[in-house]
Amino acid sequence: MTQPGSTTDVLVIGSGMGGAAISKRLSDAGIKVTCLEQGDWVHPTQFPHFHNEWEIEKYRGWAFDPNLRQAPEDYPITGVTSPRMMNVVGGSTVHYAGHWFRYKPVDFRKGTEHGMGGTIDWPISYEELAPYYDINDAEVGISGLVGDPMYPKRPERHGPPVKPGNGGRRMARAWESLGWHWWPTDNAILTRGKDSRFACNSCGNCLSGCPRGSLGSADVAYWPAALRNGVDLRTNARVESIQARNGRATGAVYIDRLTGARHEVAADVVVLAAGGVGTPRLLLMSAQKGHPDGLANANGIVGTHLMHHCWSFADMWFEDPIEGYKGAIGCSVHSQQFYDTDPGHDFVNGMTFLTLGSFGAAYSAMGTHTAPPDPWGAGHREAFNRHFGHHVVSFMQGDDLPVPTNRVTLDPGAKDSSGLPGAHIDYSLSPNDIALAEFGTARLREAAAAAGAVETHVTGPMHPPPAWHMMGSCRMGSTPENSVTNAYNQSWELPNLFIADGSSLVTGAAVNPTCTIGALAVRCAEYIKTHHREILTQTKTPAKDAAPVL
Amino acid sequence: MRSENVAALRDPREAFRAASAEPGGNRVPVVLTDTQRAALNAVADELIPPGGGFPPPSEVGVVDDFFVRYITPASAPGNWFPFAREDEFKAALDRITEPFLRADHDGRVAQLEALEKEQPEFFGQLRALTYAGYYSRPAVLLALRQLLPAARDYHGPPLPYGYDLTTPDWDEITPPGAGSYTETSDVVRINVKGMS
Repeated sequence: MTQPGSTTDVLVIGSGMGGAAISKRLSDAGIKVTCLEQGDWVHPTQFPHFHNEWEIEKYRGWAFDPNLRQAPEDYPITGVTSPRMMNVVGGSTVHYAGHWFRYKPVDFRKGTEHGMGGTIDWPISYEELAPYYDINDAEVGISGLVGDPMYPKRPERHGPPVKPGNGGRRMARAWESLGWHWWPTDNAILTRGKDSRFACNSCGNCLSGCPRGSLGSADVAYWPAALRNGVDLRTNARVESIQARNGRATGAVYIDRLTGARHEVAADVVVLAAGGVGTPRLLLMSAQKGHPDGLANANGIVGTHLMHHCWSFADMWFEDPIEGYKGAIGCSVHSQQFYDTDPGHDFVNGMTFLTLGSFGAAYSAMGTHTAPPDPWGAGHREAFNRHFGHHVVSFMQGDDLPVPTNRVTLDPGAKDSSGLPGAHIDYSLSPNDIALAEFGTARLREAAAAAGAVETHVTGPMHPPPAWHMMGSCRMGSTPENSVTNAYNQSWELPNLFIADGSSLVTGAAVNPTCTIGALAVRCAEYIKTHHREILTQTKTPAKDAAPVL
Repeated sequence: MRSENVAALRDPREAFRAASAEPGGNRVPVVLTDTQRAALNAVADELIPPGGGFPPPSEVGVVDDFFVRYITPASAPGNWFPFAREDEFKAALDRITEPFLRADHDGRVAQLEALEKEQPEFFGQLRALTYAGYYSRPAVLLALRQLLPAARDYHGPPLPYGYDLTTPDWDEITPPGAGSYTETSDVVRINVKGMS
């Protein structure tokens, strides 16, 4: 039985980067916001950083993959890839690396550039998004170095770039010796304190979150201020369905996981920000009268065009000490030498080369990021001593094509702890993705040699890919025929239903998505804030040219 | 009436904790027999033989302080890495215990080689627990610092100390400043090789 409901101006579903940015921005303007999050807060004592056993925890309660973590707040995901996500306040940012790349202007125009697969132009340009990148960057607190000639200018960063350690320095020199571009990477990691958050102390375990608040996860970067603004954040509130009537979203029904009771929240505007897998899952779960194939899915596009990026890794070992357990685990330095589509290649799009830290002794013995474990028995000591503290990893992150057959669907055979259906993922690398990743793999080998590696383990194109990024499954577009939402994240089918998260991304670029997810969310909030009254009376979602000007 | 009051005070999140993998492993360690402990210690000492100043796993608590917290108890609602469910793990262990404890070093190595081929899942659990346990024990962290130049500053748990004072910074390294990007207005069709 559903309990009598409450009402709000804007109902936000999901508390990750998208939901948090929107909740904060709208509540800054005095708009009444309720946010539903199926998970709970992560308390600083729940992070593994203080434990001797911090490394095995990476594979257990702090595994990226919800299928390994199997926590009550997670939902199962079947299929070929294992998405890296977390269902807590702050969403997957609670254990992301914090790599903070902007898209480049060309990334918004890939339909014009090649149009391969299901590629279309974004309905907005870099220039239109840039002011919101700036706002979101300032909210989160981004360290880095301005002046990269591979990008349009951006404002001064909040603190200098993270320390590169010996590994970052080694790769910068290697790329430079090859004549390649490189630049210190922007990161959502504080190198200067902000609010109540500490500066990073180079502990090296960012991918298991940060109890110091140095990592710009949404729970520390956005939520304290949003709560002070009065946002009603309801934790352990698992949405079962979004409700619609007469062509408009009316709210959502959620299960209070603490009591099992169902509640309804009525809202003037609903913003769905449950992530690249969670958002299509919820829309598909919300099939109802008038929407037999799920909400916002009359054109069948919900869940399609899923992108994960394509990947290849090179674990490298050196004779001299690297001490890769020191410093932010995420990327301190990157190269975008092969970022752009090159007419001389046999593939479109490009890639970014990144670096990562190495974690600790147990992780080294277990094979680090991609290598097999050190041998056991008589050869163990020599191999371990040769490997531990001598390791650097570099990897390529390629721009995979958005193709309609890569998609999220429901798996009614897999249930979450509330009995709701899990998600299923179909994903294959396209021939273009494979050609791109093979090219990148050859470059990884060149860079390893230039760096002086004495031993390497190179994966080649990874299939299935490590699904760190979940993008494009409810993409923006210029028409109801090619997309799920318009240029302002407003669903074509229900004018007061907005979608603002990784699923909104039209292309994946060759960079980490969170920076762009946050910027889009801020822009979406600004649109809702500015045009709230018009949205309440719209019966048809306008295309960009007909929409109120932001 | 009293039991209802007690129930009302219970935080439902306790049930979520019990159903999750929490840092530190099992709140109630799995109980092993003396024979099982002896066999696991003997296995661990073969997987990571002592030497070069490094202690044997059996002397630093790998089994008694780590295995017992990371074998998944039979009563647990989930099964987490390394997916060594108590009943199945003990059954597999009991099958090898007697011959393993009877064998000499060479015999034990031969038995482990056979186990790796014939029961890769069970062997993988033994190896993962041994590696993760051994390289997280304080005595081994001390040995790493004392014996390996590349580990001179390694203190195991990342916090509270971090490595801020010893992580190399950019110093003299500056980016070359080469490269460019395409302006929005300059994006045009590009035909790559083999593209129709």
